[in-house]
This record gives sequence, C-alpha cells and structure tokens, in this order.
Amino acid sequence: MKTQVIGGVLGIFAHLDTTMDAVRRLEERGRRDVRVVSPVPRHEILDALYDRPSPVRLYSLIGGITGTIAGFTLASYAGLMMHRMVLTVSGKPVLAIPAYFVIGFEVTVLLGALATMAGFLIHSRLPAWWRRVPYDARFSDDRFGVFIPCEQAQAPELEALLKQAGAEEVRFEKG
Amino acid sequence: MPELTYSRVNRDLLRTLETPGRRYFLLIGVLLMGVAFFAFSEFTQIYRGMGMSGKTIPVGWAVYITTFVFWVGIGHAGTLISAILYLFGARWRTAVYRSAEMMTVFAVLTAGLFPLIHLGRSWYFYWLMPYPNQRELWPNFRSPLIWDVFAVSTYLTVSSMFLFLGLIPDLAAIRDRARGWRKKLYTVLSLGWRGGDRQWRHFNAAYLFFAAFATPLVISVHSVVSWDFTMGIVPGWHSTIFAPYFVAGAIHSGLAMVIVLLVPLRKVFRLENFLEIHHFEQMSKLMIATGLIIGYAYGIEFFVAWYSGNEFEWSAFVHRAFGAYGWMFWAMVLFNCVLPMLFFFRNVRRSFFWLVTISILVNVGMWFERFVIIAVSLMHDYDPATWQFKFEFTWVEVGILGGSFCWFLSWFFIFAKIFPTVSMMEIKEAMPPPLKQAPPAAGQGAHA
Repeated sequence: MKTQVIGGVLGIFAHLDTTMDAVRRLEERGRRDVRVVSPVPRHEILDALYDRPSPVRLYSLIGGITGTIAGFTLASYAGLMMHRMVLTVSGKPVLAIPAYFVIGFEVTVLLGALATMAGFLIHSRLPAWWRRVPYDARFSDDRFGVFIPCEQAQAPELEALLKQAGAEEVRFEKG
Repeated sequence: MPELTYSRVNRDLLRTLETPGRRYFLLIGVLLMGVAFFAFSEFTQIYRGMGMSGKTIPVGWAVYITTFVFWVGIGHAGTLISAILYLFGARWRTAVYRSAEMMTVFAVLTAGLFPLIHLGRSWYFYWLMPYPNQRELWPNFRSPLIWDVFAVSTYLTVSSMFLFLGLIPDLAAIRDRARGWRKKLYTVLSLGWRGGDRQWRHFNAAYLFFAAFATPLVISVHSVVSWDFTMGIVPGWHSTIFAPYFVAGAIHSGLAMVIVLLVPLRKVFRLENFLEIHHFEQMSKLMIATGLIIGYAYGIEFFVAWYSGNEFEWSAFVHRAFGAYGWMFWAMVLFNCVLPMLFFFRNVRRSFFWLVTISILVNVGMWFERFVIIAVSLMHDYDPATWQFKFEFTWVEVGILGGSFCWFLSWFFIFAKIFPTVSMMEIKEAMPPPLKQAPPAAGQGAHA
C-alpha cells in the first residue's frame, strides 16, 4: 500500500469499536489505503487490513538456513585449514560433523534472529526519525487514529464520515 | 483502588522513571564502590599474576568458572518467562517479563566477564574467535570451549535484541511525554515508532519468531555450558545427565533471582497494581518443579556413580559428600531441594519474607552446586597423591565474586530508572480494549 502521501485526514478515537466502525465505513467506500494507529496491537485492526501474514517470517527462515550453512562451513573450513597445517588434534577426524552441529545450531539462531530484526526494521520502515508522518502523542497512550490520504478538497467529506463513526477529533494533516 | 485504564498504566509506569531520590543514589553509590573493588581485584590479579587466585594444580577451574556458570544460569529464567511462557500463552508472564529479560541480559553480560578473568591474560580473549590470521591458526571446533563462546555470545546478542524489540513501543510512549534531553534520547531509541498498523503487524511477527529462536537457544546454552565439563573425563564431570540437570538448575536459580529483584522493586516503584502476589506464586510453583528435577538429578548422580562400579567415580562422590567441602554439598541439597519444597504451602508462597529468604538461599545453594561440581571434583580426580589438597579461596577471588553482584545490580538498577521495568504495551494488550458499546467489566485489570 502506498504511504508516501501528500496529506490526509486524521481522526482520533477513544474506543476500539468506533475505530473499527470508521475503518469499515471507509472500506465500504472502496478505500484500501486506510492507516490505523493504536497504542497496542489489536487483532481486530490487523485482521481488517491484512489478509496475509507478515513477510518477516521469510527473513527468519532465510536467516536461519544461511546460519546453518555458515556454521557448518566455518567449522569445516577451520578443520580443513588445520589439517593442511598438519595439526591433527588427538588423532580425531578432520571433519568432526557431530561436533559441528553445536556451531551449526548456534549460528542458525544468531543469523535467524539478526535477519528477523532486519526484516522487522525494513518492513516497519524504521528507523524513521526524519519521516514526517501523521501522528498524535495520545496514540502511545490510550487513543486510536485513523488516517486516510487525500487532497484537501476531499477532506470535508472524509472528516464528516469519521465524525459520524465516533471520532472525538478530526483534522487535516498536510503532507 | 481505581480501575486500570490504558492511560493509567502509562501514568503509573512512567512515574517509575521520574528523577530518583537520595536513597536511590546512595544505593547506586554503594554498588559502584563494589564495582570499583571488583576492578581493583582484577587489576591486582593482572599485575601480580594468577597466583593471586586460589587456582593451582589440580584445581585449575575454580571460582571464576563457577561464577561464570552461575551467572549464565541466572539469565535462563528471563528467557523462560519472556520467550517460552510467551509461546505457551501464560498470561501471568506479562507483568514480570520485562524485568526478567533485563536480568537475563545483565546476567549474561556479567557471565561473559568471567572466562576473560579466568584466562589471566584477558587481552588475548580474541584468540577464541575464528578470524583469518597470518599464522593460519583456527580455533578447534571440536572443543566445547569454542561451542561455549558461540553459545554465550549468541545468547547475549539474541537476548539484547529481544529486550530492545519489546521496548520499542514503550520507548515511543516515553518519548511522547518526555522533555528536554530525555525527549531527544527516547526519540533516538524509539527509532521513530508510531504504532501504525504496518508496524504492529511486523512487530507481532518478529516478536513471535524471536521467542521461537530464544526457546531452543536457552536450552542449548546451558547444555553447552554443561558440556564444558561432561566432555572431560574427570570423575564427577563425565556424565550424560548434565545438560537437562544444568538447564533445570539454571531456571531454578534464575527464578529465585527474579523474585529477589522484583520484591524490592515492587515496593520502591509502587508497582503493587502490576506485580501482584499471584505472579510470585506462579514463579514459586515453577521453583517447586525445578527443585524436584534437580533433587532427582542429585540423587541419580550418586546412584550412577555407585552403580557404575568405577572406583574413582564413587570415591569422588563420597569425597563430595564427606570431604573438605562436604558442608557445601549438604548446604546445596538443603537450599536447592529441601527449602523450595516449603512453597507447597500456600502461606509460604504468599509471604514476601519467605519468598525472598528462600530465593536468596537458593541462589547461594546454586553457586555452591557449581563449585561442588567444578572445583571439588578436580580436588579428587585420578591421582590419589592430590587427594589431600584443599582449595583455598583468596581475597582476590572473593572480591571478584562479590564485585560481580555489584556490577550486575548496578546495571539492573540504572536501567530500571531509564526503561520501564513492566511492559506498558503488554499490560495494555492483556487488558480489555476501551469500547463504547460494552465498557470493560469490573475487576478486569492487570491480572495478566
């Protein structure tokens, strides 16, 4: 969904049900670009806006697989290098695969977690210190926000819709 | 008591971050003096040599490795509460998980110092890392010591990221109310979070996967730590039950440490609405389970030593119970297995005095356990000529051990004033949402 907006209407709601009512009304009008801000994650909001799971899971999977390969490769490479130097340790095999499972597992978790964090940051568009977004400090406290990108000319109609749904405050946010 | 609302949760928990009083600074001052003594002891050891510690043949691993294992273990309860109980959907974890996760990070941070202290020439620690070098020497990946480097550094990295991930929404809430330099600090730390639907969607997914990664990780870490010993052939070390035995012991001591930290925190930060007695009851019930597991492990260890018919193994266990440090063995049995059984009584579980007293003794007992396994086993290995040797503690070791507690507590209490010790976001998530049509029923609050 496009989020680089020129501006839009922001409605501030005190209740979850009124917020969801506003989202439904907007969707009935064919708006698929509604953004909702909330103090906590609510499945009602996420279920209404998304029908597919977050792609972050793919990062976890790819990071984990990469970690497994990297862990085994690192341990095997080190074993082969030492063998090249004729430093066989205690007459043990050059490639001691069972011992490398530990390294493989730890690096799987390490790279899986790092990739998960990267996926979260990339898809959440964080850090975003410089990005100007429609926001109100009350959203991190107890208020919900509904934002619809639009031109200023369309604003009065959307403001009326949000107020009808139960918004306690509505304003136009410039882009 | 007024009913909890989203706004009240923010207000009550943000109050804990206000400028502290004189007593707080006094506490931090005392702790930092302990840290200074810690540093003095370590520098004395570096300057005058490893003879300043009690380590000598045959006891080459003693206080430092014992303390390393102890602190790694402390961290495990944090991950149990924040990750494993999250996956199991245990709602009571919500109120305690942040403090427990902070404890994990600082416990592992403390643990990480001890292999370096133990090395003596700490500045060569990087030799443990695999990196291309001119001599083409690589670490031996068949060695459990290298497994440990990977396990502990992965654990510290993943736990720190997991803690930070959960903090982001709370940091944004603090940012929105802070002023001056604090606003700038929290603006940077919160990464520009605003709680949009897209952000929550990815946050939920990332949190779930972090919990899924952390769960096997926490079990692997103390298993790997236990293999530092089991891979050796020392009588008393070479055992197949060490991995589950160490993991249960780690969780046992970690839960005890969470209780020791949270009871005073609850009082000082006036968190009675959030940290209720039933949260402590749940943790004490878990301690009954872990106490029973390690009690079984203590028993089966002796049985296996006797049943094996190996004279050295059995002799080491007899020495463990009746040798120079026999008192430490019996103290560990009493503190770790017998005293936690008092939690079967509801009155004990619901008494803060008994909760804290038993938990402190469990922590003492778990340090004893590690010392008994590590150092006392080395006092009685395959060479009868060394069996008369008794390990003696030195002031440097005691200073480093005591200082490590000050180091850990300093981090914890400084962070407790910078970051909320109870997750505002998760407390609110566990509450009924504000609805216009059906207001929340009475009595629903932070019973998470």
